[in-house]
Amino acid sequence: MTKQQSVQNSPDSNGASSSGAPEKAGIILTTLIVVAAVANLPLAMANVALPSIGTYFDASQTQLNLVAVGYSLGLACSVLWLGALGDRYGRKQIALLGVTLAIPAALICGFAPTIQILIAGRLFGGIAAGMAFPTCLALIAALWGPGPKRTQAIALWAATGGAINACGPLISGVLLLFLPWNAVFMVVIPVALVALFLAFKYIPAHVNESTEPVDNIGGILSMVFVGALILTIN
Amino acid sequence: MGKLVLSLAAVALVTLVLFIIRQRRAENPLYDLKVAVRPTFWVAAVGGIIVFGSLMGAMFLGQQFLQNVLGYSTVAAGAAILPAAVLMIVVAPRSAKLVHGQGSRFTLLLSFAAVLIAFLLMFVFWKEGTSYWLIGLAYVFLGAGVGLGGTPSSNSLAASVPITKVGMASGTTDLQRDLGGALMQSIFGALLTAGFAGSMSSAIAAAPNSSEISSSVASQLMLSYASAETIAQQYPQYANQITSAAKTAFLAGDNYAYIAGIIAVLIGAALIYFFYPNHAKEEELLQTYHAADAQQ
Repeated sequence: MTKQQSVQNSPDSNGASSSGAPEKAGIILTTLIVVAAVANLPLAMANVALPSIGTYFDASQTQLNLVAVGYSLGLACSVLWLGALGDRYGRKQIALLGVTLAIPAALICGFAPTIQILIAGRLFGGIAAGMAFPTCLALIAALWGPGPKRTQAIALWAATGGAINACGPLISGVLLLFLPWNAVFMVVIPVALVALFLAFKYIPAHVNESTEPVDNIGGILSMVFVGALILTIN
Repeated sequence: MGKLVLSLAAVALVTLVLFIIRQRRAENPLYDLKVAVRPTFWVAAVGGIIVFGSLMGAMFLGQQFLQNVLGYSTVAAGAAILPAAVLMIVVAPRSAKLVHGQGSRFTLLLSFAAVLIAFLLMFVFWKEGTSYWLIGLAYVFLGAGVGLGGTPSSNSLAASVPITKVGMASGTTDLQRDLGGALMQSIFGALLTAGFAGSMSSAIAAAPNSSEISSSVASQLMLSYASAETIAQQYPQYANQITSAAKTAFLAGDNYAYIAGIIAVLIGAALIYFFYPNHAKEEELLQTYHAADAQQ
């Protein structure tokens, strides 16, 4: 592979510079923070609602653990493969798909008639997040050239993600004062709609992407490996 | 349960070996092991696992401690963490400056020091009747640690991979949070359960009427704080003794978990100290990597 083959577009033709920030850096970073929030919120918020879910479905502890773990399981096991697919076929496209699928996933969880469907919805939501999440840092790295500005962008993006995680229990606690457990899963829908609009409008497509074929066998192996690892730990 | 865990562990091990073989042979590996063994990649990845794992583990313990021992409501316990969230955002821009001024190694070590202080504060001061400022103070240090550590770990990952393959770095960043959170939560959870059961069993043995406590009630009492509380409601005449024994037992389990947190942070700090390159060497290495990746 020569360099020409592996770099699809020359960086300057896409508004991304080899060093420093892209045009509209502020709004692009905001978009990526909101997209990451779509992936992170369901992870951070569900645990507080577990006791009410347990009572509602008369669920066993194992089933409740699966509701808690299902999302991170779907996310963790798909993220390496989907990240590579994004590098090859378009990070913007995969991010848009992931954010879009987060909406039906939230609806499935919120309206789940049985605990099994709720668990399936969590797994599905995790995979949707696996599409949205790995494209965020990848886009920052592809759009901001190496250097202090990229580090600043990564710092803000990582810190906001951590802060949203830390606020998750409070947001769901407050919601549960007024609403049934279903609301905890629905919160992400308006955030996803905002993320969809912002991502569609502001994220540049196909910057610094790869043209090499994706190692799909490796992708499947990584999925089974990380999935089994997470289940073993839990 | 034990059989299931063993077979899952076996599946994980076998697929890991197959994955490594595949990645060494594949022409366009999904997870380029030549990149993954770069110290700016793997040490940063492990450091991030410990920092984010500590955050989630401490939140997991803290929520239960605040509700069980201090009697906070769910909402109050959620709000108690807010200082951590604020500190993450406040510290993050400074951590970016530190990464470029002093290097990732220095910034990561500073982050680990802050998380260490947070766990020490929890270990020493979080008891029955602790006032909120000591709770908040521990969360301030935890938030500062995560704000300081999140930047260099994600940034080093992104800087260590070729630009057309940043999905690998981004995926690893996510795994740091997921694996770190799962690992620390299950270790803390197991220690909490074991410490709780041990302390509760000696409390039952020491009770004046211990011979009257049936073995099924005793095992219910030793199971968890919540199940001990259920028993306390069934035997209102002993409710006070049961609740106070359960609080003591919870704190005993909690202390084991904090010690585990302290050990994890010290191991991580040692790893970074010995294996992550210093500032000058870090920049030199990253330039070598970029040159090597550009030639491919």
